[in-house]
Amino acid sequence: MPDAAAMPMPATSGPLGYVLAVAGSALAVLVAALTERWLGLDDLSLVFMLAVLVVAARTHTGPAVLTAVLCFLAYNFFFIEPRYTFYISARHGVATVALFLAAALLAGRLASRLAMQVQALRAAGRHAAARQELARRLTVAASEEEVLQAAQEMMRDSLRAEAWIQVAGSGLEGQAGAVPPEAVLRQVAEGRRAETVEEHGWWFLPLHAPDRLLGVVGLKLPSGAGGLDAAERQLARTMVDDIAQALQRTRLVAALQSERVAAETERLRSALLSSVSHDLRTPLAGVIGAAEALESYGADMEAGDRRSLLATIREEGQRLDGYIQNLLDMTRLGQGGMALRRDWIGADELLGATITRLQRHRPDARFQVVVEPGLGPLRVNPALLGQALYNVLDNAAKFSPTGALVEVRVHRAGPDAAVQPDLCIDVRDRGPGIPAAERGRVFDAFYSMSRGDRGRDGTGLGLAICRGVIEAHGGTIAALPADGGGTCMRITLPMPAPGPDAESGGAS
Amino acid sequence: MSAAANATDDRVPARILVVDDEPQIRRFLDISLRAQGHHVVSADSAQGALDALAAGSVDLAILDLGLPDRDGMAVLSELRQWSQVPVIVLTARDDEQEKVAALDAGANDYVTKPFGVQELMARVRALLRAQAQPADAAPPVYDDGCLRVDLARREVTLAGSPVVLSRKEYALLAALVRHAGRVITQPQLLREIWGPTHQQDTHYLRILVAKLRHKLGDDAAAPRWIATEPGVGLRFVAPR
Repeated sequence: MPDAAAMPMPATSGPLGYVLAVAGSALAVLVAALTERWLGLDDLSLVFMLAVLVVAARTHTGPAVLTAVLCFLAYNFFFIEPRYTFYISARHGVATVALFLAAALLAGRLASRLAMQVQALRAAGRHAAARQELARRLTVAASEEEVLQAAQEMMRDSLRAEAWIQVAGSGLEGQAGAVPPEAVLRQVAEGRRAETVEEHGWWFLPLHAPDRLLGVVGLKLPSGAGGLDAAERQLARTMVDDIAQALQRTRLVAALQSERVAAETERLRSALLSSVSHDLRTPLAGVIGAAEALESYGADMEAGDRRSLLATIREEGQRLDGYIQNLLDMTRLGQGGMALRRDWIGADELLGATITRLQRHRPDARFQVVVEPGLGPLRVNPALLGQALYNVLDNAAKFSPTGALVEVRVHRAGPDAAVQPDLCIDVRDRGPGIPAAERGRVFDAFYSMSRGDRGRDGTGLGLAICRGVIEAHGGTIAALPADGGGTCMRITLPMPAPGPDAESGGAS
Repeated sequence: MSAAANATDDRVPARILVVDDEPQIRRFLDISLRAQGHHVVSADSAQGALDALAAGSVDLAILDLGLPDRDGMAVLSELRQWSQVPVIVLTARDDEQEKVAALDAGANDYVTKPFGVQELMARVRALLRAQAQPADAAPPVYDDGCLRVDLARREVTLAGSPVVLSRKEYALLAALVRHAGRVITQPQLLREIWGPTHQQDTHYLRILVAKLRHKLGDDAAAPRWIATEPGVGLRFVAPR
């Protein structure tokens, strides 16, 4: 029925249907009077039949019957001889009006039933779409809050009902425009309202898990238009079931996640403990031993030996300091909400300062820095990024053969380097390189320790801190194989939008 | 090292006050400074430090910011109300803000704990040298054989040929040279060159110092003259 399907007007219910019946009949009389000249008496009955069909299709049985009767009377009264009486003179006239009444009643009922079926089908379609949409949104909801939000929005859209949702044990309450009356709330809270109940214009539906009650959904029924019909109530029940399932799923996922985090934290903590005891004590043993040796036997030593012991004390002390710095940085990163106090600084300046600092510890390390011209400054936390660079450069120097150059190249890069380039810092060493299978893992905390090979004085923290710092700046770090052996550590950082011009204010 | 050659300049004995609550730090500073020919006075608290400074005849103070009785920063600001004696503060590494705050409160330089004694001695020398120069003397000429900056004539030459600098570039270079060997904070430079309303605009400074380095042929990644102290400021590296 393409016509019916295309009808935009919903079925008219209530007194409006009867108004429509009277108006339709009156209109039919008017049209019949105007067209009587061209139409025969029998054809006029079709005008009235049309009116009955139109009214029936838009209303329901009552107005349809009323229209049929009104049209029958009007047809008789205004058009059948003798006019302006209900008396019918011709015998066949009686048959005509009797048949008209029968046909009008039948057609009216058929048309109104059809209209109601169409209406029901359309409602069913709408409800199915609403359920699908709800299911889609619940699937992507990652947290209980998102589940509740999706539930409320969908219930408002498809049921015209404000939803109030209380989930036991999470303290979450969906924020609806309305809150149920205090007395009802108390009953809900006391668990006496686990079954579907209706009160004060609110309809409560339980959120059931297989083994317990998860919570309660309260629907503030739309006022006026007669509440929810049976189909809408069925829709509400299925929606509530879907919501309960989604809640269970998010809880399960959250439980699994926190278990995984707990296991990871435990693993890190035990690694940290053994690392602290090892990495703090080893240099201390060197310091204490060398100092005692000097104290007890210094007078008998050759000058070269004394210098060597003194150098040991200094170097081990510096190593201890570096390790403590890493521990501090890692703690700061681990606290998550690390506020990045950003400042402008050139990548070349930061590298210069870092290399100066590094060469105090490693006077033999040699670096060659090549910077692409025309690069603007970065907007970063200079201390943290400096420490990250320090760790990368220190690593590169540590694994380089003695006297080999560590090459640092700073350049623009990125998938669309012409439009929005990233800043790329490549640090390339001539060391033994990292096996392909382990390149992704070198940034894990305590990686070098779990591998059992501690490098020369690796603590397994340096590169983990690098990754933490660089990711906090929105960048990335990766270990790549370098041409001709060795490793290339590639750091990319987002380039900030250019700042205002320095010379503004009239220089030069 | 050229410091040895200039020993006559640098070894002018000075009275140096060391303020730290850690006896080990006091001891090694005491030994090292005396080895350089200086007289050392020690204090282990803020009150002791202020007493020693009030007694006068201290040429330079080395002040730890973490003192048991009072914040080192409070000592600094109280001291600056009546004395201009040069102060080097000892700070923890992590806190760039603290360094800048101390420098802005009147400290002349800082050293980050743990520090090498050579680094500290270089700071001490630079400050004592600046102190020896009377404030009303003619502006000095900096000349290391390659770069020559004549502050009186506002002339800059590089290997004998003049360098053309913009007004702000020259102002930056002059400020750095006047503080040769000592750090100047970013807010100080911004105030001096752009005025008090631009103290936060560190971006200006980055662009300007990049231009100045370029004209002097200096490399930020391996600075010969102008070194960046990340998050703190700039330092003109005077030859040792």
